[in-house]
Amino acid sequence: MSQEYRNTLLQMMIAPTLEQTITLGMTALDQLIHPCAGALLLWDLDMERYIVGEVFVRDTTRIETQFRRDALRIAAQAYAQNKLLPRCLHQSVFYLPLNTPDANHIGAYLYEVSNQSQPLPPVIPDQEFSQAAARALWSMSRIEQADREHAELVAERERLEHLLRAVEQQQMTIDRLLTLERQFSASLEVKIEERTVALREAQARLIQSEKLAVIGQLASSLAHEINNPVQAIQSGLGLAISELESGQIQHVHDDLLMIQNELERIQTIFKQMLDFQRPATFIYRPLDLNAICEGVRILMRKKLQELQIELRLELEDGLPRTCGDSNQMKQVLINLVLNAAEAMSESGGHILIKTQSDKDHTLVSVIDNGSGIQNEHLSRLFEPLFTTKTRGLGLGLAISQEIIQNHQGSITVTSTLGEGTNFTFTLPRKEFCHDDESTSADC
Amino acid sequence: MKASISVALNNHNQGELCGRDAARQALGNMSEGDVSFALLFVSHPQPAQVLKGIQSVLGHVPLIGATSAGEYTQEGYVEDGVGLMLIRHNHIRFHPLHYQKRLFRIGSLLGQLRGRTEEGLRSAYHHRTLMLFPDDASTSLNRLVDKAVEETAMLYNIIGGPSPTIAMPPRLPLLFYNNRLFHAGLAGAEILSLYPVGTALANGWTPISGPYRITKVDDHHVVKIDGRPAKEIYEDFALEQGMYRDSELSREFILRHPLGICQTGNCKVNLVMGFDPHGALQMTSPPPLNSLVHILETQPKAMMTAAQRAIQQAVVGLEGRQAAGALFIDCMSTAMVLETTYQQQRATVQSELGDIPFLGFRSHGVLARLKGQISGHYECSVGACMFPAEDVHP
Repeated sequence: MSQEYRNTLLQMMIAPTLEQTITLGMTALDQLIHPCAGALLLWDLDMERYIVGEVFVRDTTRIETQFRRDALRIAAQAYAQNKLLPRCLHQSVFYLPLNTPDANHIGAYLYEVSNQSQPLPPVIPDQEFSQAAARALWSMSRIEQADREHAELVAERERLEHLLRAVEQQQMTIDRLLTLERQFSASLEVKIEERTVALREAQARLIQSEKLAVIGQLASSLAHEINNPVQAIQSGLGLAISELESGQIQHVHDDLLMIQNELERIQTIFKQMLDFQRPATFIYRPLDLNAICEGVRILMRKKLQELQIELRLELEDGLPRTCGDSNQMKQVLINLVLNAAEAMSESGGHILIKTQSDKDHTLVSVIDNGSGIQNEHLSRLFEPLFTTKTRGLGLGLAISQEIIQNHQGSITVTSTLGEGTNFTFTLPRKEFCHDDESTSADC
Repeated sequence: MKASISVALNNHNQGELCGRDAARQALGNMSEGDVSFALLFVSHPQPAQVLKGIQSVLGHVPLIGATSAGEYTQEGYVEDGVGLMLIRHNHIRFHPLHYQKRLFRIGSLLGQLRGRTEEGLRSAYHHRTLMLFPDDASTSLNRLVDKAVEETAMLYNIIGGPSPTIAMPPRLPLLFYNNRLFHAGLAGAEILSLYPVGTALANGWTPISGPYRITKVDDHHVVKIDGRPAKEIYEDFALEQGMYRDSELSREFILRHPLGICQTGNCKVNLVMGFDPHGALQMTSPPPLNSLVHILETQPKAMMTAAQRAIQQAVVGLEGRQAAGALFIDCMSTAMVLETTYQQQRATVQSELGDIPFLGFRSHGVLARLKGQISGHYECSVGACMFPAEDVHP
């Protein structure tokens, strides 16, 4: 074996790249055997087939493209038959497998020696060549593989470092936000403390001023409620005086009785105003709602005449009984009639008190043809201290609702602007009124 | 203020009027409120005039976009025209960005992303998407996606489409960034959303031959496959298919048989544009060295199904929210492959999206980094980006 061949083999063993290893391997093969065409085929582990490492074609009659195709096809067949055995496949084609000592198949040389004009001693190279070539290719391919993996790892590490930097940035942002949050919380606590003190002081001032306001409101409301019976008394006295002067003494007794009733009512109103915020006791008695309506008509007659308002009754005959407190029921009716009267224009109008019943209830309606109530006010009408009037502070309807509810009834209102309003309260029908049904307002 | 997206299409032959009319139409289609962001795609031969016309109506609305090979909406399809999408959103923040190659600063392609810095990981706007419209000539598109993936620290989904270089009539790729028009670089937007943005990519290609090992490659060529000149692999494949009768492989044949890296049923498609004298494949985005590739094939029906699939996947990405609008990125080579059936694909997109306002534009492929898919530059594929509405899906 020539020194030149041995040097090439040595260079192949220490070649720095796979490409150079392949080229030098082919050179060594050429120096050893002088084939007319040769191919180094590499075994691809993923695809489990040969791919071309290097090809040379010395024979000008041979087409390189075709030789590559043939080499791959023939080598695949040889591998399938026996991947370990170097051999002559046809008359002039040889297959030299490259296996490492630990039986890793790294590739194969396929070469053609058809031009045998010159003596070619070893047609199949010695074992030293195939072992050296296999070892060199194996180690080089592994080094290249390792380099590739290393490069991929470096790239991956760079990506992870970017990610890490991003996370660190976020962490810094979070830390900054947390610091700010802590500072803010600390200053917030101080501020809350200060504000709490200020709020308590303001609340105390507010309570004081609200107390004064409520006292004012109650006083004003009281005056409003007392004004009605006082006017009735005034008109009763006027009637009595004129009846005395005209000698109609038989009516004076009725007038004085009416005045006495009204004085009793004033007393009751005082009591009820005082009791508004505390439980009141109702005495349940059989109620004749038609009679109560009559009484209210008599009571309101004079005042309504002055206002040119006609009060009419439409009472259901044989109205079923219900139970309740007649004074309170009367107060509800008076409140509703007064409200209706205040809704009238200066030229007067009509108020209708109507009683009716259904299977379970008795119903009393106070219907006027006054100015009506705006929609947005309807839902608030029964709130204490809500009023749309310049006089009065809105306790009348709140008290009325409370009274009706304490009788297990309900009160509703419907209204059309410019046409009038209908307040209807409903009470349950009751055959018997037991003492144990007496209840308190807050039950 | 509810989300509103409107689109407009125009192909007036005077650029400025074309842009102005499109902007007016899009504004007219929009409910009351300020426009947050505009996406502009122009196949008109006077892109600068188009931009001028649009700005005369929109003023200083943030805008990004690119030139394209054609645009379409529910109204139809135009070449030599403009497609405009206006977006008004109070639950998405758009931060436009741009990069010009001559101003390249080493280490930074995207600049400071607010989602990584100002907004922070704790931000409620934690659904992050990066929209990229580069030119197709000045850089390797695969590398651009890799770079973007690194700079976003893998916190963002990436979707985009390169502006195409068009041979006939010759047109350079151009990019829009607010009132500027430039080439060689990219225009993009960081999209930070309260709700998930639906992004998806699909194609109808399947492996027909391979696998093969890429053994030598450069920026725009696959030089060797399986250690052989790459052209030989195509010649052998054509022989196997009984299609290689002439001395040269036809352009149609290689166009219909791109290379692809396939994983779990999805293939990253890269078209073969031709062969150089040494038998290397000419490609815009060659597969990387040592990768295993297949030769792919498709059928028109498969490509239409793929368009539907992209939309359906994007809808799934919205996680139950309704779509306020959709951007459809459609590789211009799809039309070359589908030829006369390309219109059917557009009709499929239209019917799948129903009443959702959408804008499609024909780019040079799709750039994507999406969950479960290979990142990089896909050709002959469709990308969908669906913006969420505030309302959840009934």
